[in-house]
Amino acid sequence: MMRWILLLFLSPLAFAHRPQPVEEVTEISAPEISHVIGGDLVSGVEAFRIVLPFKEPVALPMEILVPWKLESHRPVFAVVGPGLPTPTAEQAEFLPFAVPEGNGVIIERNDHEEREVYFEQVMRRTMRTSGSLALHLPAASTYEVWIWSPEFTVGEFWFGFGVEEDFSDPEVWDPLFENWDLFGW
Amino acid sequence: MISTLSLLASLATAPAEASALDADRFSVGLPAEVNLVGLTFGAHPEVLWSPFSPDGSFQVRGSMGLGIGPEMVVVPVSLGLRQVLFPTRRVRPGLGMGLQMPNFFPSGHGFLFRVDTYMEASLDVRVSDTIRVTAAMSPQFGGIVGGFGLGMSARVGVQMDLPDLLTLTSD
Repeated sequence: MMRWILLLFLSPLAFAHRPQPVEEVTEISAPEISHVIGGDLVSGVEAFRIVLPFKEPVALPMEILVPWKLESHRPVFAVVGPGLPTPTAEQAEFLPFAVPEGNGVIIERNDHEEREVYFEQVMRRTMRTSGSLALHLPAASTYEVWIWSPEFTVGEFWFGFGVEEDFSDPEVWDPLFENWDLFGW
Repeated sequence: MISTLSLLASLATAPAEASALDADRFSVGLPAEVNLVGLTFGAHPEVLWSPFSPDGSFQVRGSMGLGIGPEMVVVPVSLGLRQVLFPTRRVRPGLGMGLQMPNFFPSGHGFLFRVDTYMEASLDVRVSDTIRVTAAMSPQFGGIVGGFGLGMSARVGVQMDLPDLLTLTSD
């Protein structure tokens, strides 16, 4: 009976992303599952690395969002890994870290003049999004996403990626409740 | 003809039967409400109808509210059921569930329609002959219409039976 009750309430969660707070280096153990990585640029000079060890080539969307009220807050992200375009000198200068030998980079500069306002219904947050960037990561390899604020603006951000959903382990929701002020209020 | 008139006369003079729509079957609540998911503050007035017994043990709840927050305005409209336990006592716990349309108006975004289910755990305490103080927690789960989402409302307010309220307003 309890199993059916749990299924009744957990099955709709298949429309959401797994929440996780950002760390200086955030290891994602199952990058094929969609995630939302939440963080806070407190000083504006931080740069975060998200490590995505893919076991096979993938195509997936990525976007970065900020609270609606932070109109000038435009954190950016770069995807770094094998099979991506070699960075230009201007791009290499722009990045917060050096691109490892043999890797390439794709940068989302979050510079659309008008950003779409997105209402995130699970936690009822109103956000501004960079827009969804469709990516093909052509190698079964580890990719990294670097997130930083080139204009040194401060404030919360949420980095979302992927479409595949899996909430079979109820513990994946623990970070949401442990970081309520980040994902909720 | 005479017998028909006699019947009508007897009906007219007979004591009125208690009706499910009598005023004493209705109560009115005025709770302040904070929604802890998305953060809004406001009020969520409710009308409670006790169709089976005026003691208010089983209630149909209809309500419409307004919540304002830093990122949105919500206009929740709810219809549900509430079972009040120990209806004759001073302190009455209750459990309820129903449907709620949160009706989101996010800042900088168009209107969003959704239909949620809600549950509630309530407690009311009679503080005078006519007034009860009420408190309730109400989690909401979206997904019936308009995509999945969460909600969690906390309400505190006052509740009066309709006849008492009408008496108060006519004084």
